[in-house]
Amino acid sequence: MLEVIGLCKAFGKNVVLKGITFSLREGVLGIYGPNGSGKTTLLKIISGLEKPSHGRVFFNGEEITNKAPQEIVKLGIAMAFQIPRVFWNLTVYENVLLAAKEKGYAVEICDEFNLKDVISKKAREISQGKVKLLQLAMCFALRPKLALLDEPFASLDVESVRTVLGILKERRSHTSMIITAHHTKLLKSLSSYMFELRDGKIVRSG
Amino acid sequence: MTVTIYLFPAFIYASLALCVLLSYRGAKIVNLSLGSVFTLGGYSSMFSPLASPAVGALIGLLLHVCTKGMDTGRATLFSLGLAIAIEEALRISFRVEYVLLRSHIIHLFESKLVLEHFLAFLVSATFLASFLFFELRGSLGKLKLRVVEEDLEIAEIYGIDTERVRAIILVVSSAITCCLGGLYLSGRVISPTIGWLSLIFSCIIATIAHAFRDKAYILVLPVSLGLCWLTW
Amino acid sequence: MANVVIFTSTLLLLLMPAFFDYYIKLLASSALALAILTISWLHLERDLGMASLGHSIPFGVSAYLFAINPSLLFLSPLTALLLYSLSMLGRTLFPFATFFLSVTFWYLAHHVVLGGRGGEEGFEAPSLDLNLAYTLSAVVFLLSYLLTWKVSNSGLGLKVRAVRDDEIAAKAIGMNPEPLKIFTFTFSCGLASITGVLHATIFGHVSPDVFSPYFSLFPFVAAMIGGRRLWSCILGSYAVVGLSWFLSPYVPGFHYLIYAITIILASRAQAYARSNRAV
Repeated sequence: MLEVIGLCKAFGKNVVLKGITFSLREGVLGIYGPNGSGKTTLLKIISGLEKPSHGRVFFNGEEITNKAPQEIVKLGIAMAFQIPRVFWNLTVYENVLLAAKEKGYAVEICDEFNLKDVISKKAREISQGKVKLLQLAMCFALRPKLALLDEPFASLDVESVRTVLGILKERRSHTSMIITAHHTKLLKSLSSYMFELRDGKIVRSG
Repeated sequence: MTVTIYLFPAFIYASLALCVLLSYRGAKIVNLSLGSVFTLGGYSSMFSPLASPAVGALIGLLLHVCTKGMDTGRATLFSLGLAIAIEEALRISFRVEYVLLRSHIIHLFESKLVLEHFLAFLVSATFLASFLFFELRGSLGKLKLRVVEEDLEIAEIYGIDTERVRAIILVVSSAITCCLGGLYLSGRVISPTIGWLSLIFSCIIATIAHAFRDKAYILVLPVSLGLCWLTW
Repeated sequence: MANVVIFTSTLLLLLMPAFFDYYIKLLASSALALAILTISWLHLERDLGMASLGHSIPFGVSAYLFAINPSLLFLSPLTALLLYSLSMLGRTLFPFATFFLSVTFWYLAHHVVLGGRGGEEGFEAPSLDLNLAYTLSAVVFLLSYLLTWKVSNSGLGLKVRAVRDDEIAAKAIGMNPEPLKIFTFTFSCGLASITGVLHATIFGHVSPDVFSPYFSLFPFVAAMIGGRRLWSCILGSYAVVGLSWFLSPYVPGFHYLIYAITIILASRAQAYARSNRAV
């Protein structure tokens, strides 16, 4: 499904990714590592929001390295950001509708992600936990074949973590995912495969 | 002589542009009243040379007090209303369309110069040099200004008195503008609307300088010199 | 109840001038035309977050083209591309850049001379009978309002507002922001161009003043006085035209002072509220 070959990324003199190579056939891939290891940059490159300095990315046999983000979304890759990027002046429903494109499906997604109680509120009026759920809802509303989830459990309380975990476990049967996190505990319960990213390199995999 | 013809206005418009830029970035207002304040300086100088900066400072303070807590759009609208109000007040008070301001001629470097214009050049050069020094020195004051420009909320969280910063910017910019108007308009026939062209030209300089983001304050003078050379 | 008040006041403003004399009808026609300009400006500012201080450009260009030769009006959509290209400078620089450009057009318009006509005096334009011009202004205003409301409340309008909020997030959910921006600019400048043609037909004359700061700032002032709502653009426009032109024979020498005080009060009005909803 996804093939990443020799990916390198430098921001000026700061080399963030150093020759990352891996492939994902299907299932859930967990990537863990400390802050600054390159996890977010890796996901941004796959989603097209950043261009690599070197290397190539293939999705279902098609090269997507230099494609625009909106084209990559159409191919079936969607991303949920660590710091949520939602439309703050639109309501929760409008945000999800933009991704879902169908009214009925948008309502279904809001229900699945526990957003029904805030559905008519503007994104800037809801709590950070709900914003995080909204971000995930928008990502899955795009019906992706591959979902890139950047620290989906960050800033969530215990209840919300349980909710998200439940949703992801349900969805993993029909959506492949790449999930990044600082810690392995949550990843282990979800992932089929994992690897550690440290200083821009894969240091441990299994 | 050619140098003074374009050098003096270049410095004065650079000062006005700096006032426009500071008001926009620091005080979050497109200060459309600066043109009328410039004109008011000319009219105030008829009474006393020291009247202009004092009157300008008062207008700046009025603007600050009346636009506290307003967003940029509403504050800009207020400044437009203030500009027209000043203009109309001058028209009603003086009851004549045009007024001739007196000036004094001096001889410098074998040239005849208008003393007030030379003083305006010195005032603007001092203002620009002081601000350049402030900008390049890397002081706490400069950092405060940067933070206020970036995000008011964060500035307040870290203990910066944003209201004070805003007040200083508006009072100083209005005072300088009024003072420059009082000096530079000497020897000319003025009318209440004469300041608008100066404001427009200064806004153009400010726009070009603003495109350079962090270097905007430093580039105000070179941009002004370039534009004045092109247009004179 | 609010909708009834809105509807009634709008209807009154549209119908009442028809029963008054030439001068009132002329001002009302102009106010209606400028209300369309305000709607076009507000649509761009509210939905896309781009506050243009150069809407006098599409307004003035189309007025000039209409006066010189109506068949040249096909060139007026180029102003949309011009303003769109300035939007790439970013939201904070855009208002200044558009103002700068409108001042440039103002200066250049003084030098447009064709066959001994033009320059500072401008060009004569084909004009209509005032009653017809007034009716046309009212009809076009209603159509513009309804069309803008429809576009703003459609799926397309939702996408445009999403791009306004966060372009990167919009790309991340598969939207291409550029066609949406181009559409919004084209729609806004299209309405502004129609206003220019109306203005030319009402007054029968076009001069470089169509690019002046008065017309550049007019939609901003009218929209702010009216409360930044679509329906109240007509109120704001009538207020600005009424105060700056209508009062001049009645309180000569003071009408601009009253205009200034109104602007100051409007900016400070407590009940003045920003709204992102199209009404």
